Amino acid sequence: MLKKTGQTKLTTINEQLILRALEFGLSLGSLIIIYGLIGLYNQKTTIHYSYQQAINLNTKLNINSLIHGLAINQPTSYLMLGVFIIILTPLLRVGLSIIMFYLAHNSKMLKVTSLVFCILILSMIMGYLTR
Amino acid sequence: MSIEYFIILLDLIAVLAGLVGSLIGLGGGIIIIPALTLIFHLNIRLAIGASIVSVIATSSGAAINYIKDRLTNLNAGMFLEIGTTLGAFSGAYLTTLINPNFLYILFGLILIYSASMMAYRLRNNFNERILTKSNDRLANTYNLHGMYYDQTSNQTIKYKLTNTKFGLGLMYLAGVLSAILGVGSGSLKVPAMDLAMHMPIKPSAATSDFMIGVTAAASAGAYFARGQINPLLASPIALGVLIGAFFGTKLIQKIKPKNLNAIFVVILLIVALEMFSRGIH
Repeated sequence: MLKKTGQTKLTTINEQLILRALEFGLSLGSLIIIYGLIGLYNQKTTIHYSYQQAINLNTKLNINSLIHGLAINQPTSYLMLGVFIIILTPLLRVGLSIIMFYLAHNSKMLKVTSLVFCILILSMIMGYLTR
Repeated sequence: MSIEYFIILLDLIAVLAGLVGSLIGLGGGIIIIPALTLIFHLNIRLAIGASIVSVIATSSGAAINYIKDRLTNLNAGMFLEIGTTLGAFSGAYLTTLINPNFLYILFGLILIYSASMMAYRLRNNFNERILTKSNDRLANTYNLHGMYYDQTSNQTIKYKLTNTKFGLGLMYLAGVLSAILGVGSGSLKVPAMDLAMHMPIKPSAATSDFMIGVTAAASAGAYFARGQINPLLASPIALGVLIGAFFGTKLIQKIKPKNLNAIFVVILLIVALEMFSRGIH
């Protein structure tokens, strides 16, 4: 099924869904990063980071401290969340493609995209377990 | 240096990297990593972590435009992502075993390779051999063949793919290097499709950008979980590169990037020498 984009170009529903997933992930991630950077700038009167402190920041992922940081409006936690959303954007795109191929009964491409999705998830889980 | 100035400086470098990168067809990583290591004297592992996030951001941004232009071969891209993600998965673990000095040397080699690919493209006006038939079992089974509308010749070009297994192997290698060095490795993915699989250059470049985001996400996810991505470095860089790439894609319609490419070949070679000297010392 084809849908019009602009004056002459046509895209399939699958392409439309991929476009929306990429646009959504990038916009959300960027907005959260901008919010975090503004917060960091406003916070400079209370907490002063030096350049050295910034590059030596402890970035080991701890989900509880990330959630706590977001709850207390900590700018670095928002920056971390924004970065995480950008990293998850391609994953969202693959996940939506799986649903599209399932609905289109395209079993061959369904297997291909499911395999890619599993490799992505496995890579993240292995990274978390070996941190 | 205070954090505010540091972030503003990072942002400016990232905007420039995104702008130049999109004009010459290379990702931001190949500019960001030398900038962070040579200007700010950051550890190359920190630079790689920051760069890989910007790679996801820029390639996803470029992929949006290419999909709208219907240049991307989605089936081929998704199929070849099996190779790139497996490569990135292995690369994310290999990197923990590699001496950082070796990373500088490997990065220098990649810069020289990218420069020579750009020089080759500058010297040769492509005579693309487009296949109208293919006996490749994988390409036929998964319907990896495609077509695109070529704006310069004003016609729809249909093409068939071949050597899919070989292409998949090269994609694995591209994935490993992408994870180890924090770059998109488009300079490897494009020739794998264009020269080995006979996909025309325009859909090859578009499909490469489409795959780079997923490839980088496989290693970035592991790096993020392991705490190798510093948000104070990665977030201003990702934002800056996105802004730069946005203006780059607008500018590319107005300027001829050929001269820019020639200048950049020389710059890449100089930076490569600097990276080598870091690796040796």
